[in-house]
Amino acid sequence: MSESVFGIALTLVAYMGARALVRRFPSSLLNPTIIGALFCIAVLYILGIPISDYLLGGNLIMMLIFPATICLALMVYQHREQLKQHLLPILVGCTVGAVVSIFSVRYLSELFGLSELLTQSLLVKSVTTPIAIELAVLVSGDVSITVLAVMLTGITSPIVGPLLFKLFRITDPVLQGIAMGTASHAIGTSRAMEMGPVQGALSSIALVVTGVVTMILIVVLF
Amino acid sequence: MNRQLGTISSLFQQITLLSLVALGGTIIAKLLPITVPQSIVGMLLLLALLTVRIVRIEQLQSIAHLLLAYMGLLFIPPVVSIAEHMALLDNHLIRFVIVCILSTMLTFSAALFSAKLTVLIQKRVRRLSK
Repeated sequence: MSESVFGIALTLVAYMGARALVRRFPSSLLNPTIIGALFCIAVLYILGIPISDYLLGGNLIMMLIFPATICLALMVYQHREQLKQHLLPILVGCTVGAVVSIFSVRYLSELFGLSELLTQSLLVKSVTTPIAIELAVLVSGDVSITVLAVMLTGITSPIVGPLLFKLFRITDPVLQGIAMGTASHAIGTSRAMEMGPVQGALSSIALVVTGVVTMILIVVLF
Repeated sequence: MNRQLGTISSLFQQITLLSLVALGGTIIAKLLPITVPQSIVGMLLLLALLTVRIVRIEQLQSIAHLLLAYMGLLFIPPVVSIAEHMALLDNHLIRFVIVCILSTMLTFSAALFSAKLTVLIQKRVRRLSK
């Protein structure tokens, strides 16, 4: 047990520091998880501590992903009125998005000559991290690489999304929210919340619905 | 002092309730004939319990807020493990990033336009039925 304390303390300190940094310099490109992880890697490297030692504590922190995923239910329940009101566009948008995400990864990976393992790790990149971690195992992808892909996916929409809205002249907050949540899960949702309450609500619903739809697709297809 | 104790025992109750929901989700997932992630079954179970009002949102609010607001913390360990998996990315990193970004833009546009089309069709159907 005492060996795991180091990993827990390092992760907590790294995360708190990264959050403080991001609050100081707010930007879609700065992600507390990535910055915190880079800090941990640097500390481990400098002190010459093997990652397996760090993971004695790290794995205990990861155990909380399970209850955190269950709590996603609240994100849908809190916005149930919006869900009822826009049920059909949400279901269609999330389902089409999930299908396009999986198949575009397949074809683009082939086009760019990515290895089988990288392709499989990319397959579930559009769903929120806790769900992606579970689904990565089902499609025999590498969990670490999947998490990296999910983060990368997350920061894409907040940057590209507003440009696409302007280009396609999309002003409906409902549509904006669905697109952000479907393509870029929780990171897109935090950007959607900044755009407005309707965008935030729809994006929260879309991230959960996309996760469930992707799970069904993965279970059926693989 | 009393108030503080009250908050702690309430948080304790919330953790207990969440554990029970998690246990329920695990049992249901094990009973299903197909392999499905237990956490997603747990999430759907909680959504169902909230909808039929067996569980009220206040009974879970604090612990859920804590877990959701600091969720990014939980993914630091898997990202750190990437240092060990760097060999897998090797010289594919740039291509990996390009595939990821292109696919996300396609997903984004697909969700956007399919939802827009649905809204347009819904409007037309409503107008016709009037």
